[in-house]
Amino acid sequence: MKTTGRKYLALTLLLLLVATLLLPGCGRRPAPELVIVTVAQGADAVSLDPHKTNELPSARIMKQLYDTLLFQDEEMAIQPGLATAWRQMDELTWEFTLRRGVKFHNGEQFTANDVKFTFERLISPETKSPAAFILEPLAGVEVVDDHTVRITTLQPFAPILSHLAHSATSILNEKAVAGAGEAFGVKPVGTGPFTFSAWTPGATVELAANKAYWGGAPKIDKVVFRNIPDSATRAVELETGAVDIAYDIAAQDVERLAGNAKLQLVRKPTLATNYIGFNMKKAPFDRTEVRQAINYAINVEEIIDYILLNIGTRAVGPIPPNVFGAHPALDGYEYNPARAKELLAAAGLPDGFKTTIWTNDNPERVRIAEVVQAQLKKIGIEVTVEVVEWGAYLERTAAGEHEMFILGWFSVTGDADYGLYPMFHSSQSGSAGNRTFFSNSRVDELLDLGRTIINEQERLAAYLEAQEIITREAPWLFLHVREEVVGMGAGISGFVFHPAGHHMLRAVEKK
Amino acid sequence: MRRYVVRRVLLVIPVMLGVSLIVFLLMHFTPGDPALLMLGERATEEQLQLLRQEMGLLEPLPVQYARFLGAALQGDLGRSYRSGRPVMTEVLSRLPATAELAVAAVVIAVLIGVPVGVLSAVKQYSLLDNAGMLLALLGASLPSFWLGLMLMLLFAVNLGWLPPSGRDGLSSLVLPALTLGAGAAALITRMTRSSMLEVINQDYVRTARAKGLPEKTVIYSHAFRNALLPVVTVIGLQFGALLGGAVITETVFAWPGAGRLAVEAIRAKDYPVVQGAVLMLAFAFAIVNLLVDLLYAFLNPRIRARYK
Amino acid sequence: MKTQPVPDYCPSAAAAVAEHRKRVSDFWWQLRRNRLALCGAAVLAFFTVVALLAPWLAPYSPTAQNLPASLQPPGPAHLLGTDEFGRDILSRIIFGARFSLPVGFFSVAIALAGGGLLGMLAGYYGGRLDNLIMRVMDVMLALPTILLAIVIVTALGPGLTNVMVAVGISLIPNFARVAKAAVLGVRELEYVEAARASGAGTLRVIFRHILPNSLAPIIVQGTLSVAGAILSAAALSFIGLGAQPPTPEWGSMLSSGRAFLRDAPHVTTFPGLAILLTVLALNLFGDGLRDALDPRLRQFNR
Repeated sequence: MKTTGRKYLALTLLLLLVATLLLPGCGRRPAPELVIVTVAQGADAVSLDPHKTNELPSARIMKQLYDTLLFQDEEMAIQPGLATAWRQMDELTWEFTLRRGVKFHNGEQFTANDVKFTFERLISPETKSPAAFILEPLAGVEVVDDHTVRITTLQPFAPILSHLAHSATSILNEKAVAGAGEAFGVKPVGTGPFTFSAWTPGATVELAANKAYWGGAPKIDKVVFRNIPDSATRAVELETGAVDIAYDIAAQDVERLAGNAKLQLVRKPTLATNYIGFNMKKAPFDRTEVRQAINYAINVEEIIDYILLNIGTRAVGPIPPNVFGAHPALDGYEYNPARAKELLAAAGLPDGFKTTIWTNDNPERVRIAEVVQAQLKKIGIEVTVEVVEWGAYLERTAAGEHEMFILGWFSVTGDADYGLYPMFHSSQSGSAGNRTFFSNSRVDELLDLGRTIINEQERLAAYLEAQEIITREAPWLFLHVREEVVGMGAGISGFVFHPAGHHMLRAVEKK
Repeated sequence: MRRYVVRRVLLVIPVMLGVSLIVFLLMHFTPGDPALLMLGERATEEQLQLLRQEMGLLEPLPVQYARFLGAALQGDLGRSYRSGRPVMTEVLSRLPATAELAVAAVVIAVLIGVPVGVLSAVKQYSLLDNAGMLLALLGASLPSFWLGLMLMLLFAVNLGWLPPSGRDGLSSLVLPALTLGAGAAALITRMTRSSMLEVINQDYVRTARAKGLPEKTVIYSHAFRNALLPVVTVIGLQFGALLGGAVITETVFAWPGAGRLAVEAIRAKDYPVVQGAVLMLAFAFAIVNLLVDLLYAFLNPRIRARYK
Repeated sequence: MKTQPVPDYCPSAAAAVAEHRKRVSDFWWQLRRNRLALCGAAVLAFFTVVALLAPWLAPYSPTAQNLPASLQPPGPAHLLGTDEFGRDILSRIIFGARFSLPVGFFSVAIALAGGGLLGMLAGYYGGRLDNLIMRVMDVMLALPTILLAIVIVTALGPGLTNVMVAVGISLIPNFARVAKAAVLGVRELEYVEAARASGAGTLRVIFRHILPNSLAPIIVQGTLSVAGAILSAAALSFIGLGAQPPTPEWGSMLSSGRAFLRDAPHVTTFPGLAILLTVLALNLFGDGLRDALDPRLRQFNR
């Protein structure tokens, strides 16, 4: 084993090298006549099993694969989905008439049993679904016949219809789930307009048109979801035409892309509010005056103009205007540093105080925290910005170790219950969502009321009052309603922007 | 020689054990509750407790580690907390992308670094030398998240020669490999130069010169081979660094590699995936390291002699 | 100039001291003769002075925001323009020297102290100690550097000090390996053997004979590692684990300015140049240092 050994080794190394270099060269090339639409977003799906995850990147794909009993259109109005009709039988019971002739991607007929199976799986403790809270008040699902189900709840649950449009309640097929076992999340079967074809982890999820879709076949043959984490790269891919649709275009790219004749931008408000919360268990944030003072001290318009580059609108209250129950005429807090100083003085802190603001590493949030830091300095509040890693962030804010913290909340169902209950009901303190530890018995009462009365007018009245109190009590520094910008090639049409972020691709066409 | 090889191969085992222990401890002492991260911003205490139990997080650490190790020895790295998929499948699906990128980057780095380094040394203080060193310094001082984007803008947007990102064929490998290889190229250039300079001035090279051997022979057959020794070490180290250091490049170029998988898992406290990804990367690195050490032994007669 | 690497196995203390003095003065003489190295040293000295005098040199406060004046290109009011908060980039770079230089140096100092010592011990003694040290190093080395740094910063929390510790620790095995290889390279040379044979103490042999003669690769590694450490810190900021805002650290300026690369390139260009200049200076100086320290390379200096 002398020279020959050495030569052999060198040769092997060389061969290995060449092999690794050449392997990716033999990738699949699709047949040219297929119409393929490539969609880029900033993360890979976690799972395509609607019960195993509850985050947007997965939901954006699952929306194309599955149907829910009900849909919400772009205006968040309830529309028929797999259920064609519904009525309330009594305070606790709803009956749904199911669409006939719908088939799952595996060929199984869709029936009432699938609904029962799906909902029971979602809330079963064994599933450990992070989305189980969507159907938390569910008592049972009764199969009346193949095309009729009755859903009963433990307490009256007013926002139930919007919850049955949430992607976590997508209808699954028992046979498909049982057949795939643990692997259902990578072999999803639904009734939706697209069927699953392939998933290259970290890179792409490929879907094919469901030619037999009950709502009409899609006009394209394939959708490829690409995971492009860096927003700068996403913009480049869109500009070079390699990507047809790109989600979450960064603010700094908007102006340039808008000026590009080969592209079109869709820009609309979402259902998310960004805010800075105060830990009301800690002094001095237990003082209403202090929280109000900070609301007055921050020039939110300036933040929107220069940090968000106008992508976003001022939030005057806790929920965005396009959510059911949103208060149409809250006063909010104008920028008024003099008033802020007065309030601080009234709270016995005329010289301000020292505090910290936590943010996760989202660059936009870090920037906002930096501006807030600079602006609060003007009224004597010395703020330290601390970037806290997401895991620690969730844990430590749930435990109440924080002072000020920056977060956002997505009212996914478009209903005030989803937007307010987890954030401001005292029963939800800590990890369940209320990280300001806001506790107000009247607000608790109103939020319970809004949950349980079915009469829309009365619900609305309860939510209006709750928002007035919340805004006045200011557990948050109200920042802005998030806007999302979607970039598309000029040849794309039929794209339906959804305020909940999971846009519909069924009607998309590509020239 | 055989004894040396066997010894080095066997040594991979304790290294892997050490790696798994360090990663295990570091992850478990990191703040952040995996159960909370899985359930997100809306989690009730009962749900959390159930999930923690299911994940085995309530047991004492040594039991958790022993359990992990036992399963790992049978080739079972567990399932991802987040996706529920087997870790082995998940990591193996991402590892080839990373390996491919690292190999390409090392090849680029060596192809640039060694010739430039040798030339620089031979023509010390010439214009060529200075230009080469300046280039190397540039390569060493540009962060990949910046260089990557610049290369992308130049070659994909302005010139339109190469795809901006993704992993689809050889052409898509060029930009990320260049980005990743730049730093390594710089280091290899400098190492080669300095190592060559050292050797050129050593007695036996001077003797060879004095004997009247042609300069080319002196440089290439005497100096170069001996100068290669530290260079090989650096190349090996670089390759290892590139395997795991590709994280940024993978992010910029949407490259579906194991480095990014590991970082995403670290941040999501997806312990099984972190363990799996780091172990596999470390294993790949240990193998490379082994090959480098063997090569080193081949090249260095002194070490060879010791194990004869 | 003809200095032979003559071993000093002279037992007389006075002679040893004289020899030492000669070496030291030699070293300075060599270093001063190398113009490029002096340039490098000058740049480093310049940045050090800038760091020390930052409050007096900077035209603005490095953290004073002026949102309406954000992302302005270089001009008379702001010589290097403003960033996304309307902060003066020149002032931030000036204050940044106070953070970026220490990041580089302290990280490498940690790595150098830990890794260099371990590597030399391993190389010098060989045998069991070598085995033990190098196996531990293998474990650390097998953990990819940036991943190790990410895990450490995740565990300690983001922030500049933790970044320095993380980058430093993750660099230890690299230094150990290079140091060991370097020591192995000279350990068997005659003059070291001779020194050992003459009964010189271990430490003395290591520090007087092995260290100076094996420094070259360690210095090359060290100078480039300072750059690497500054860049690692920048990389960590890119992932969101770097210096806490609004610290004007060059690496984080570079990574946060990257978002505006296409429309306001000056936000990244200038901190990038500051890093580049520092790295360049470090290397030139490092090279000079190496040439001056390593007697074998001297003849090639013109």
